[in-house]
Amino acid sequence: MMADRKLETALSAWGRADPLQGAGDEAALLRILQHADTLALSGPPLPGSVLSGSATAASSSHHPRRWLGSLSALAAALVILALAAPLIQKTMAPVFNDEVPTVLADADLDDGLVFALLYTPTNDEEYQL
Amino acid sequence: MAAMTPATPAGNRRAAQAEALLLQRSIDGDPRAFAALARMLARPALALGIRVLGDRALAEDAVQEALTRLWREARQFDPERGSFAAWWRRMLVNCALDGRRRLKPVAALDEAESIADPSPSAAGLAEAASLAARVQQATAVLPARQRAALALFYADGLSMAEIGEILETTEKAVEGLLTRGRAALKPQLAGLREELE
Repeated sequence: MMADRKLETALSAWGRADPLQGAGDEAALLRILQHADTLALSGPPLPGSVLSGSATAASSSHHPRRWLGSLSALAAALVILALAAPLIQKTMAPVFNDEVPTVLADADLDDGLVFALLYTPTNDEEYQL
Repeated sequence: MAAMTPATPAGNRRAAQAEALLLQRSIDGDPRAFAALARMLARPALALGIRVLGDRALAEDAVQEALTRLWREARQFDPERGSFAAWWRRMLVNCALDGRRRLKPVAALDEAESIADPSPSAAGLAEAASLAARVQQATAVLPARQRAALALFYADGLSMAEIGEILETTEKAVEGLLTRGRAALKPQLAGLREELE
C-alpha cells in the first residue's frame, strides 16, 4: 500500500537521523561521561571476573569469599552473644524475680489502703505532706 | 561500535572485541578502561534513549543509570549467554522504560510537539531532519515498549530476534509491537502522508 510505504519512508528517516543535534546535547553527553569517570574512579566494581577463565557466570552471592565473610560475621555475633549472656541475665533478673513481694496479690488489704498504695499525689499534695 | 551502531560484520566483530577487552579491564579495576568503554557507548545510548523517551533529560538519566548498572554488574556478563551489545542494550532500555514509568505517563501529542520541537521553524530544516522530527513527535503517543521496538528496528537496524532478546519477549510479540506501533502512527502522520504525495 502507498500509505504504508510512506510510513516506512518516514520511519526510516527517523531511524537514520541523529537525534543529538540540539543545543544541550553535547553538554548532556559530557555530563554522562563525567558520571562514568566518577564511577570508574570509585574503585573496581567487584573482585574477580567471569570473562576470563571458563567464563561461567558465578554471581557475586556465590563467591566463596563472600560465604567465608558471612560465616565469620555469624561466628562473631554468636561469640558476642555468649559473652554478653550473663550480663543480660543479671540486667533482666529483678524483673522476673519471684521473691519480690506483690503487695496487692498476697496482702489482705482494705479499699482505703489499696487506694493509698495506688494513688500518686500531685506535686502540691506532695509539698503539703 | 558493536553495541549500538549497525556496521559491517568485520567492523562489528572488532568493536565487540574492543568492548569485551575494555569490560574485562574495567572489572580488573582499570578506571581508564571503563571511561573508554563509556565513551564508546554514551552517544548511541543517548540517541536511543531520546528516541525511546522523547526527552533528552529523561534519556540522560536513563543512560547514567544504565552506566551505573553496567559498572555494578559488569562481572555478571556472561559471553556464552549472548553478546555484550544485546546485554548492554537490554540494560539501557530497561532503565529507560523504568524511568518513564516512574516519572510520567505518555505525553499527549500537542504536549510532545512542545517537547520535541521547541522551534516552529521546521520548514527551515533539511527535509530528512524535518521528517524525523515529525515522526519523533508522533511517536509520543505510543506506549514506551512500542517506541523502543520501533527505535531498535528502524534506528539500530536490529532483527526481531535481537529486539526480542532486548525486550525479553518473543519474536512474535516484537512483531505485534511493531505492527501496533505503525498502526497507531498512521493517523498521527496523516498530514505528513499528504505532504509526501
